[in-house]
Amino acid sequence: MATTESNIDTQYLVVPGGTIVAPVDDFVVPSGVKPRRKSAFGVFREMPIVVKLGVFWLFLIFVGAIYAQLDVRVFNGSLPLADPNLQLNNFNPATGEFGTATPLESPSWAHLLGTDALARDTFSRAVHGSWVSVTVAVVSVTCGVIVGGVLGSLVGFVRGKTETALMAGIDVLLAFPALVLLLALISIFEVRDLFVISFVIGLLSIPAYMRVSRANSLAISNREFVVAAQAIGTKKLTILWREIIPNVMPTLIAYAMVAAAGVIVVEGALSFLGLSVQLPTPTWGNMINQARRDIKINFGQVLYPALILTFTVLALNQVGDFFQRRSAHRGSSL
Amino acid sequence: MLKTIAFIFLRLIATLLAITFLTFAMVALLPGDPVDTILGTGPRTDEQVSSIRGDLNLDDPFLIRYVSWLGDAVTGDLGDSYITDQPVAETISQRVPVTAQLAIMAILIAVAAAIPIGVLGAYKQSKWQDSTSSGAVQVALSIPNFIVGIFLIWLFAVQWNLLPASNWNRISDGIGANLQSAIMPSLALALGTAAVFSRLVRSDMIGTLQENYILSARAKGLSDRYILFRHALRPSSLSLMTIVGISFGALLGGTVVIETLFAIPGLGFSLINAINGRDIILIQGITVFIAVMFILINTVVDLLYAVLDPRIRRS
Repeated sequence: MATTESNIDTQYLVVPGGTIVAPVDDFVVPSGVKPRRKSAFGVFREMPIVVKLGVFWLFLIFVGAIYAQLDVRVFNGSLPLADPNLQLNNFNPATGEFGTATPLESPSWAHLLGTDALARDTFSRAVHGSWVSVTVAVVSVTCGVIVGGVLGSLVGFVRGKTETALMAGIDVLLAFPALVLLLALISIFEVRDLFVISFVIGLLSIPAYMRVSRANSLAISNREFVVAAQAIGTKKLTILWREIIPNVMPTLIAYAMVAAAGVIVVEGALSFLGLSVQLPTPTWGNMINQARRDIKINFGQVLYPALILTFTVLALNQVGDFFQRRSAHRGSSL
Repeated sequence: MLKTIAFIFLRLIATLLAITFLTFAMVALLPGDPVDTILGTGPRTDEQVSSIRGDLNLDDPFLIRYVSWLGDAVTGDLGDSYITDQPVAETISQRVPVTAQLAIMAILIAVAAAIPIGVLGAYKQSKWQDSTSSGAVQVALSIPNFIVGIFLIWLFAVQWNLLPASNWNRISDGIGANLQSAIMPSLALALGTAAVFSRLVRSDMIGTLQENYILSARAKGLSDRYILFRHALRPSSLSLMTIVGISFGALLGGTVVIETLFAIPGLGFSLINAINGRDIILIQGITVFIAVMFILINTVVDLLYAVLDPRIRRS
């Protein structure tokens, strides 16, 4: 029983060159005993320090985004965070007093990241800006994983003419430089709503997800357990649902993190060009764009949102890479 | 071989048809009357309206409009902008050289930086040189190009006052002046691209270095440097070529942002200007042009690959 109690993953020997060889004993999994899944905390402990930092950073961004939205929608700005659109040097109708802040202040305890050209609190704007990035990433990942993941798994498993036709269509869509298509769509239809923009970006990212999930589904469809399921007459849909998709998902989710990083950059570029959500809604991209006019006076105002954006992208890439390595390892030991 | 080439051409034609159709449909299926979109809400005369309806064949069915638009487009007529009254094709042909120069410079810089970094990573695999360069590559991959651009402006234009932050100089203004205004934007475009390339070179080369012919070259007593750059790099050049082709497309997207940042009168900047001015015909023309260029470049890469790689050539 000792072998089933401890973790399956750790018992495989990794030989130099990357191939993974399992000790013979491990091929015999006692019947009825499922190898235990690692808890989320167990996975976290096994991460290298850089990846841990990445997870921590992403958690902060996520919490910041939720906090900012709660502040706006539920608590009407009564939570302890400055109003992102309040010009702190002007008359404030809420308090009946003039603000004491000046434009382009350097960081202080009152304004953690200083103030921008209109004397608005940059820290608060950055926290509120994270909502836009998080929304775009979450919506596009959801579109990609659900639609792209299921369609890709399906065509990789079923094959035949459906596959050829669908993948040809996908190739056409992938043949378009995504940013240009996005610009054309958003500008021609004059889209300024955050959820519509996220959805358009999500739609455009489906083809890439389909490619990844199809490739994995192709590989898994030839594995023994799928052949065995077919041999005992399991329905195709059941095989797809119970054997293929659960095994495609780990790799696809690892890909989704890297793709989310790309999507956040695309939204950043759109905001930077002034073509994303309407001003004065803060986004990291439009903060950078507005601050770059005063680059000679206060470079910090460009630097802070730029660093936040870069750290987020870096963190997503690192965490995604980690899960990709992990799922590759797991896949070869299935 | 012939079969491969025929297949590539068939796919090219299908993709081109699909892309042009999509771009055309995007504009043609705009909600509301296209005349309103083009003329905006300002004052208008019946003459203007009827001339636009005539130009765009708005009274014909959708498919016929597409075919006649495509026919014009193939002969180089992408319509006239209703904002500037300039033919779209003329605007594009003026702007293309600038964007092409940026993209080519970026690719050259990226390849020049990526090969030594990738080779070093593969040669010193798992040693500190490899982990340092891999870490740097990871960071480079994660910095959006407009942030690189702003940082370069801050460093070279604001702090050190070495290079101009805007003011594009054409090649006709002298090579030196032209390079001065082109170096920062191409560096900004090159950083991420170089990271992608060097990753590829590294992983490709780690595979190659385990081959027997490398061992035999080593046994002959050739120097490591000679083996690395003469023997081991050659097989990687094919995959490098493929990714150069693919990156060209990504760069065309990247130039939109970088050209706007540096106020460079290229294709991307005029796309943004067209978007801000709601110049629908120009948006459509530039979009379709960029997409077609992208597809053509990818096809050329595919063809070269089929011709150069002996494994594909023989089959």
